[in-house]
Amino acid sequence: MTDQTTPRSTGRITVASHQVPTEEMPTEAVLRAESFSAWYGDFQALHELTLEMPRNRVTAFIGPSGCGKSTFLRWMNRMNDLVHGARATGSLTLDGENILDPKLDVVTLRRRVGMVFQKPNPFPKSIYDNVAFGVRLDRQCTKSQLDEIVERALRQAALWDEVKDRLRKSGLGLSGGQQQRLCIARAVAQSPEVLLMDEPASALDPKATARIEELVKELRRDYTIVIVTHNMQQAARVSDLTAFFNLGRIVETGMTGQIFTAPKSQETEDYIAGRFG
Amino acid sequence: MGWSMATSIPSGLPADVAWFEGALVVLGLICAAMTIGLGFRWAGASRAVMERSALLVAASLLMVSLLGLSISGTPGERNAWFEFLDGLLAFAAVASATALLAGGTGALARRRRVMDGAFRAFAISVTCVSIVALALLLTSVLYLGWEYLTWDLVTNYASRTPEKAGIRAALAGTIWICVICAVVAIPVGAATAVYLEEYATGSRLTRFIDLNISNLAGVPSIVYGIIGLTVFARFFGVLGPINDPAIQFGATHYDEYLSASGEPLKLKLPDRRIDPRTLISGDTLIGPKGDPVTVEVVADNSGDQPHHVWASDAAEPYQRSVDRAWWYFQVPFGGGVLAGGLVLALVVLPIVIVATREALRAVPDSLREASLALGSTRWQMVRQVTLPSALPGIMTGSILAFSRAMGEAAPLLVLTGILFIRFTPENLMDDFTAMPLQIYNWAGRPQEEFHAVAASSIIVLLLVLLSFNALAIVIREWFQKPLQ
Repeated sequence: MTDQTTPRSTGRITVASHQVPTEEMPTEAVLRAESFSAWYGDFQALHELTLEMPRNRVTAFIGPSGCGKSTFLRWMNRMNDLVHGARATGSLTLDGENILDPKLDVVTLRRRVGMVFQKPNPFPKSIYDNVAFGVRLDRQCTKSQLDEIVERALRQAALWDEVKDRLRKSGLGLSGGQQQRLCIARAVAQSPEVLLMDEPASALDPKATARIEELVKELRRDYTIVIVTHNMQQAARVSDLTAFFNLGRIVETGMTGQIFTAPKSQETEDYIAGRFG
Repeated sequence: MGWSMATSIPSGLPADVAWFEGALVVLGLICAAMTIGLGFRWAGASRAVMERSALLVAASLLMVSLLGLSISGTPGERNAWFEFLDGLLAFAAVASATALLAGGTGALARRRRVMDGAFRAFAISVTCVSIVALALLLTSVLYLGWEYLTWDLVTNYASRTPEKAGIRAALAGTIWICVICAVVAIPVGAATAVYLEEYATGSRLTRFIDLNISNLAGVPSIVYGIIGLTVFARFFGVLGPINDPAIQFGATHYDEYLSASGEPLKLKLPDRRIDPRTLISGDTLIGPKGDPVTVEVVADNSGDQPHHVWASDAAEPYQRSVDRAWWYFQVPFGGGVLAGGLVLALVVLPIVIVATREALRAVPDSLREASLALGSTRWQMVRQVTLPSALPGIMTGSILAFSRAMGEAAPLLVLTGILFIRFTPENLMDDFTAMPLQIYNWAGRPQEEFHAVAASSIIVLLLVLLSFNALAIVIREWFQKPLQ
């Protein structure tokens, strides 16, 4: 229903590249920021960001605390609307459509741009109801359709085998890592185009983290993923492209391999080498 | 002073009271001994804490003593009750004085530790005082009211003889007004709280509303009674007097005629304001069994006449009557159950709002974010995430609020006064009396028997209160279940 009522721009912006696309190569940009600046009241959190996030690729934001990477992420589905005094200038587009447009229906936007938070935050409802939550918000589904959507989402989040016999049990009864995968399932059940992940593994133990990372690599086939992480190894492991943020600016962007092996900027190199941050 | 136990023991008390007071003093001494004992054992606090504690203890002591003085200061009216209270105060005073003394002796380090323990003991003993007072109150009410606590008390209407007096009307009235109060106060209170917590954006208006709700919570309930009388009962007088309201539904008006044989027959009126009229032959009236009766008017009323025959001089109505349907409604409301319920709703609204806001605030923001990030509207978020999570808290707050509403006498007294009522309300506008009013009425009578009936009624009121609370807890648990 959402898909039919939402006007979509047809002219998609493609990356000016004539190389043969390979697994590593950037595809067309789904999200695109140009001269994007953001403020909290008088404090300018982001300065003139320009970045493209290509389809079916994982873009990682790395950088020290307070550098603005989460702020940027939260502008992509307008979660910053909830923050009093938050505003932004420049352009931020999803498939060419202006995300910052005050007349934009944020409800529709958020259905297209899913989000997974730092701390697992399942609703105090059953596992089934958690996953079905988003779908039930705007669609009338038959029971079997809904069952199908829930199963698919849980399979995509690699959680199905663990919970298929306890779908009616509370989501809060799961372990931390399972809860986070439940949150991922909840987000992908909406079939979004983009999945934003704000340090999705920072509250989890190494084993659960490894599962989430594996999952991110899997999900990349179906979704465009933007992931914020504190953990540079994680960025190196899961992402195709990396943007290094510092003090509200993007210092360097590029293919992840290149950023981690041959950074162009001294600042990036220092950060990756652990000299600050 | 609080030491009034010294003066109160020899004042010729009933033996059991003196015994009880003695027990209290012993309890106080035990507490004091505990104070000293524990004071030596528990670890010390900083000097500042010690000094503050000493100050606090001294201040509490002073307060307790003053309270004791104010209560026991009217020797002419002393009775067993004051003595009980007096004993309690003496107990608190002894405990705190001992604590203070214990804190003031010994080396500094020891004194510190003693002080800490003393304060702890003081806190415990003060807590005990309130529990003991409650237990005493309940015991004495049970003792006093046991005699009249029969099923007849619940099924009988009020009466001039204590043996026949019952609380049927008061109980029905209380249930009516409390249900109305709940139906009005919970949705309005919850909606207000939802607006303030989930929608309002810290604007000047919001802060103004905020401030006023806090103020409303502090308004004496009798003031709400006056507001209720002016607004709900009389509607500022702009819609006519209470007994001739401008807006009225569900009432059927009749003129009643007395036939030649003395039987009342009714004529249904299209409007209550039309003039009474003289019957003519051929008019159709309603008979005693609801059957239509055709009238015949005759010149004189001599001899044995059938009941539908009127003498011409008796063909005038002798009174006007009203039948009110169960859905009868009028504006202004008058002092009926609707006005009573609305007044109570006003009284508890601030409590419901504050409790609901607290419950909403306890819902983690991460759940709100999760819901909004999934593309829910704010209303969907409130309906499906915030409210269900906050519901147990809202229920708990409402329970507290209704406990208060059920015991309120002052606002209802302003609204209705003391009424002698021998029927249960049948529509929203019917007059009523409530449990606290009935109890107040009986407790104020000179006859001792009525005091006992009042005590029995208090037991019933407590039982109703407890069952309301139990019901609320059941509802709360029931709503909580899907969340776990």
